[in-house]
Amino acid sequence: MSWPEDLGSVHAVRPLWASAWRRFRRNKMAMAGLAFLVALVVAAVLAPWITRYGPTEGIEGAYRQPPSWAHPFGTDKIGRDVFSRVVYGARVSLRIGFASTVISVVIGLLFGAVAGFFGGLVDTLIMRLTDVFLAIPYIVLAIAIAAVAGRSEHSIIVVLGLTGWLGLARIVRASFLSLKQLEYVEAARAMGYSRARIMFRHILPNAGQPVIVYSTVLIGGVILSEAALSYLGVGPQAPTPAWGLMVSEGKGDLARSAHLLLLPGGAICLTVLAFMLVGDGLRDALDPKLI
Amino acid sequence: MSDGLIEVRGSGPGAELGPPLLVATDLVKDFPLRGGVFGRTTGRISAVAGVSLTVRRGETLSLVGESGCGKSTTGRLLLNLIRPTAGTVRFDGLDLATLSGKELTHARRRFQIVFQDPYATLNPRMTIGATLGEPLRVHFGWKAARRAERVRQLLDTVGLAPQYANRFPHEFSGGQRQRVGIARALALEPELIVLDEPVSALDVSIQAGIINLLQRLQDELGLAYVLIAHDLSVVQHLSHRVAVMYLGKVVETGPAEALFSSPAHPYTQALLSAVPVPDPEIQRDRRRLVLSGEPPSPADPPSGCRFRTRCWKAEARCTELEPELVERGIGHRVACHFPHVVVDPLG
Repeated sequence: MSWPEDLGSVHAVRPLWASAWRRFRRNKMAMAGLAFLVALVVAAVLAPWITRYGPTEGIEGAYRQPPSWAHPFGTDKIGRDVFSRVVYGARVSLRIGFASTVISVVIGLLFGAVAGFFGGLVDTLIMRLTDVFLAIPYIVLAIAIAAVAGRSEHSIIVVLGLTGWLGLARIVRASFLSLKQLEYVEAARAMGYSRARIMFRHILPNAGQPVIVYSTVLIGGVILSEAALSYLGVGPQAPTPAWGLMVSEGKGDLARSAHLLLLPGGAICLTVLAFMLVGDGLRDALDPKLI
Repeated sequence: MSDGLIEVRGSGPGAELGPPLLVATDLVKDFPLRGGVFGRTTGRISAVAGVSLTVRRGETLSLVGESGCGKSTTGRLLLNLIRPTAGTVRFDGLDLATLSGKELTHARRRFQIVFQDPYATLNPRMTIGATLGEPLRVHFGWKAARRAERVRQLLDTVGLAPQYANRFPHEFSGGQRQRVGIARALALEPELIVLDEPVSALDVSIQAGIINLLQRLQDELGLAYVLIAHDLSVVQHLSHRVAVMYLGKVVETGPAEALFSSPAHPYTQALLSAVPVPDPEIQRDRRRLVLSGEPPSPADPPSGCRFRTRCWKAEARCTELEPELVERGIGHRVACHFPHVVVDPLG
């Protein structure tokens, strides 16, 4: 819908997102996190252009070298360039992080919205279901799925997607429970709108802020879980450049070549930290009380 | 009656207005109280306990009473926003409880509601234009251009600039938001609007503007109002007929003029005596009836007359027998064993 003219002068239309961005920008830690993530995404996308060697390519005679100009992160015991592997590893981590978070968000939103909106028996059933899922440790589930479907990126995505939605469902449910009492929702009911319209057009957009914040932090958590699973050998198979796998491979030589463990480990730490910082910044920036 | 205070609308009782539009019969609403480990029902809150009301076309029926007396619940029952435990609501002959989902959606065009809290009444994520245009899209399937035209017209009707359509609610004051809420209620050209405390959250200076707007809209569009309020000055200004509620029951009902000039129920008398009179000399000399204590819990209402615990006239009979609404004048009915008309209660 568009209206051609505005009263113009005193109040210009100020979209809610613009003011949120203004507040986010003032948070230095969050901006640092965001800068790191942007750099990481760019590096992952441009990996073939910013690395000199392939991630699985062994270099003759260059085994277990410390960082140098030729190999900024050194090389591992079979002569692969660690910098290349870390950069390509960002692709794996980000892919798994985003894909499984999308699965979690979709499931969490759906179950949380239905539970909070309808209440009663539906609510009880869904909440008991989340309790059941909470009782299953994701590592055990991952090992089970890896045993059945084989070790792969896909099975990791499915495992983490299926275990990550529980917190989201609870958050969405709580928002729906409080928002559905509000007068504008009652007004929508008085208008005779369909339940789907009320849930997704009137309640969901107002429940979105905690979801955005939680999802951002969740991506970081998923990347950490993925590293843990890879370390345990349940994740992607060697020679895939997954950070957790690299940490696992590097742990034997800690005394002589600490860089094999510390550099991919540092990549995990910084990435997870960056997601947490951005999530924190978003929470402050999106606080509806400030709008 | 003191001059300047009571200006009851219209010349005669509501009976001269149109035919019945909304007829509610013996409405009951209980809310279960849940407790214990398994959420078993441990008791019932009797919010509305047998209320019958009639609203005619073009008239204002006010529901008055203390907070917690069930007037807002009654308003929502009338619009089928909550389902009654017992009793029926007929809108223009249609029994709302028996309508199918589709029929009810269709019928909802004809009755709307305006809410109390101007800060909760509008979706903060939607522009005013989107809020006002949505019902036109959902019910009539209008295209954007036609909706925009109607939105302009609606904003103009409630005294807002059409250019406000692309603003968000947080850019408006409480009074302006309330006008938008009224415009939304008008969008589908309803015949009846429930006004749930439409001005009680507003500054007094803003209230008058909204009241005048509501009055003008009624005159121009022939709307029927159910006005839920606790501020009797507002009620006096807008009402044709009044129903006084206490603890889920109507204790007195009648044409506004009769009810305000000669209240018969002790509770109505006490309510009216609390209305300030804009003449300090009269105000100083008048007798105020101050009720002691709080209303009893609706989870455990008193036997017999529900008002007896706070009534200065209560006798043994009031404990034993619940008084029925009895006709005392034209359309003036009172539920009290010892009704006594105080002529000129404000004098």
